[in-house]
Amino acid sequence: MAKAKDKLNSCSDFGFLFTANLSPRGEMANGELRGDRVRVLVVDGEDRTIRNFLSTWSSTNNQTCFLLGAIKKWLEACELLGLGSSQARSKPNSPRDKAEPELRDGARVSRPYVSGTQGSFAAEVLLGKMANIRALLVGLSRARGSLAEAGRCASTRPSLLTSLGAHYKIPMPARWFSSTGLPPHLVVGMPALSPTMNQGNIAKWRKQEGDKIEVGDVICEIETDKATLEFESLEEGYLAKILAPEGSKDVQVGQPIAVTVEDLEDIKSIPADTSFGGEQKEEHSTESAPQNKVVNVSEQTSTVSRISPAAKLLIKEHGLDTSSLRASGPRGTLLKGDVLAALKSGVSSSSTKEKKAPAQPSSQPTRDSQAQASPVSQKADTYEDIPNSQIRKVIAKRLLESKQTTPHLYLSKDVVLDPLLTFRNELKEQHGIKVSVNDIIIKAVAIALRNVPEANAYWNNEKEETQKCDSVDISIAVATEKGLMTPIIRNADQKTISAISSEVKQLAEKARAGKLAPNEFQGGSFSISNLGMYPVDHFCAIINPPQSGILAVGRGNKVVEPVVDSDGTEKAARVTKMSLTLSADHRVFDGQVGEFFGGENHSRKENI
Amino acid sequence: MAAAALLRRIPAARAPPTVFVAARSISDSTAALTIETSVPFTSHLVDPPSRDVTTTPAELVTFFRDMSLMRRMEIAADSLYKAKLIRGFCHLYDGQEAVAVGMEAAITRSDSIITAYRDHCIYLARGGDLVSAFSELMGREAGCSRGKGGSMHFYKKDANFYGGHGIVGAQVPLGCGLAFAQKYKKEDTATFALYGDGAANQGQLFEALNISALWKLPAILVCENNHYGMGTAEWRAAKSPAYYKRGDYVPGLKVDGMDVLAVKQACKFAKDHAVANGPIVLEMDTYRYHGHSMSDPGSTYRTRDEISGVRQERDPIERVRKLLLTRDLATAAELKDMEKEIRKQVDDAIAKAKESSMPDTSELFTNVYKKGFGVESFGPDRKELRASLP
Repeated sequence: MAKAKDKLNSCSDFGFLFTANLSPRGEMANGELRGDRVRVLVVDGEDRTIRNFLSTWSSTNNQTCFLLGAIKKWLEACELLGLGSSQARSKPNSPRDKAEPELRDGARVSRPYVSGTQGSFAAEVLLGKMANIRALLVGLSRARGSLAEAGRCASTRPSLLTSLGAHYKIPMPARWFSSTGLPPHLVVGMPALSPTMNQGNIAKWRKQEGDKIEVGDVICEIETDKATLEFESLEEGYLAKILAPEGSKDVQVGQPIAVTVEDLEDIKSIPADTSFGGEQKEEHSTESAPQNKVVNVSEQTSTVSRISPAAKLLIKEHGLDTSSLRASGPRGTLLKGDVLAALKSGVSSSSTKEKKAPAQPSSQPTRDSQAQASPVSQKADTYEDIPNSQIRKVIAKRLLESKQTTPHLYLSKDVVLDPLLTFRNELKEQHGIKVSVNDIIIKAVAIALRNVPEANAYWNNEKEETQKCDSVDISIAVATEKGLMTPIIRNADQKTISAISSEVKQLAEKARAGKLAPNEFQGGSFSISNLGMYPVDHFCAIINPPQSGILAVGRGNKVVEPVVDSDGTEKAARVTKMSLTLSADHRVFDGQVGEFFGGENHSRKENI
Repeated sequence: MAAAALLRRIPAARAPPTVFVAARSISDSTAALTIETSVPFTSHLVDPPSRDVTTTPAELVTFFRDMSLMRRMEIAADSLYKAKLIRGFCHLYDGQEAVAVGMEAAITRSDSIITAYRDHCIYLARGGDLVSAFSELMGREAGCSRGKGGSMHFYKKDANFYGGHGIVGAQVPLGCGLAFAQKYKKEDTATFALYGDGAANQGQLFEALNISALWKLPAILVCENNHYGMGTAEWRAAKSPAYYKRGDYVPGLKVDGMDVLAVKQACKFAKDHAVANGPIVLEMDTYRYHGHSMSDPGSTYRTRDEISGVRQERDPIERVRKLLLTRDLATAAELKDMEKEIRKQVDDAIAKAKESSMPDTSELFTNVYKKGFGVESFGPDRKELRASLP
């Protein structure tokens, strides 16, 4: 025992922490193993996730924690103490009561949980020595003096953690310990809500983190290839963490989307940066990349022994305090990645990231930073992918189809708008009817279409001929946030302008709210697209298939023109001119176009 | 787990072993206990049995355990289906466990049961084990039908469980046939032919019932009325939703299918009646929480409030749990532990079932004809199969 103590004493740089996993049921904790309430957790002290977890856990549970770093040395010590095989069940050297005062933790064992670490230690080797561990603890605490107090993780962990010795990893059976020392939790993967589903989008989360989930409660809405379905939970518990936030696209079936736990307090025990696989790969890799690099490192300190040139530059640029930075390069080199990480985590503004991006190609002193640079540079580039909504996708497809398959013919004319405007003013002042220029145009076009019935047609691809439409239904282009919608005004030639006006307003409202019924936007024989409210003088629109024409209305501009006056002389006058461009399907329109177009202008004047 | 075992052993070495928690206060006494059913029985052409059911605490505990196991299995099957490990059809029985468990408690393994495709839990009740159930669901060789049947074709002939039938209502004439065999062999046993409210309108049921009544066969027709035939509510499907009266000249009994004790009482009564007097119709008023099958969300023809309402008011497992707790036959913690243990059992069974392999291609030709036709495989991959038919 004395030899062991000496050995352990000689390991100047280790604290030790191990948590004995008590039986899953907990009754052991409450009953027989009362005295063994110290949590003995074998961890890889290098693993930051473990440390983070422990900090929260120990403070919430008020447990004594000892951090084990020098496992190899500890193993040797165990050998000396006679903790040979895992089957050893010898009585502890010191009675229970003696152990307790030293290691009194006071807190109840609230609930047992599986804890451990990935590939860190052989479970049964350690736990088999449970009885003897107490002896070890006693010995060590004596050796260390005030180890119990030093072991209060909450207060003195940093110093303990920094003094970690060499350790080596033994692959560990995974079934007993969970990989990151978290409370019992259930990782919910994306379900296949229909047999043909391979991926889905998360449309909406009905439950938020921290909410109670009963059996049968809907936790989220999932958009599949066919429909948006509700995902019911079959377990009860609390939603601990949402891994795939609302709007996540193309989540594969099986990919983790949420984590649930059974008890509310367990939610706190899950640190924010734990990855449950899949979802947070990028973040995890960047965070663990500096960590993994340290695997082979014998020592990890927060002091910086030297600074890489690129890092130096960055520090100068941003005026950082070197002592606050953590070095993760070999032999304590402060790498560029460290500086960037530090900047990202607190200090920087987004503009500096763009500066970093051009700074990337500068040479990297160590090979480590190469790996770190690429994930970091991804963060430095600022671009944003705006996913296309379903409507936009469809619009895009149809526009392309229309442009490629329909032979467009363009006719433009500049029309004098003054008579129309006076008419409009007249209506407003004398009759109190408010109509817009667009409404009048719609009416004019409708009349023209009625007068030139060959224009009110569409090209029937199968029959390869034009097919006349019976009614004059005009689609008006309305811009909504979801995309361009074209509600239809049916029988526009038979409606009065004010009727058209009110209908346009109503349809536009509905379109913006997304409440258009299918018959309200499907069909139509002609379209009008008015960009007059924008500073667009003239543009050519793309025909909406299967229609055969679209009229693009530009802005009314005041120009000076020679105008034939009432007495026959040409005078310079200010007129408002508006550009009209008709994009027509040449298969349907040929000579008629001119007729139609002229007729249209005529009707505009006639109208009045 | 080795480590847990070690931990448990270690203190035992030092301190006198305390009694194991699991069995300690959960009652395993066989003292008779009389419990009243939730609602009285409604009967047709027969005197209903008494509302007071004799049972024992041990039996109640087994009810709880068995129903929880079934519930857990169905939920696990749901997850497996959503993970695409179970393909095809999967009709889940959760909510209706009381019918399976109560029936089993009233009869012996010599009585036969035949049911439709919602058969996973009946298989378990008849003595099926979890590994073979999950293997069958996942189509593996270790399954009860060698992986060739799937969810709808669970069988256990040695326990007189005749499946597992896909055609709606087809199993009832078969059940009457089984009853005929039992009467012929003078076995004094009965056959329970289960069907749903959707199948209750099928013609062959009445034909089979007619002949069973004429020949006084020990056939018990059990209608598991979960009120929805796929998506059609019973009031839209049947002019007379009193399925227990459908027998007309055959006596009938309506039972609260969510009360396992009522089911037990009714099945005992029915068996005695059937063996003595001929067929009887039972209607089990029950409910399923899932949709008709896994492709049915279950919420388009009924509201979620209705489902959660039934879950809160009538859930069979909760009823037994309340009974156990109020009569102090077990503590809440113990029941919770039992559930956890069951959960673990199910998880282990799934893991084991996943290890099993898919059936070999030669199995395509077995069990098709009574006499095998010597399938041989040829080709470099041995994938070409040749069978000689007569």
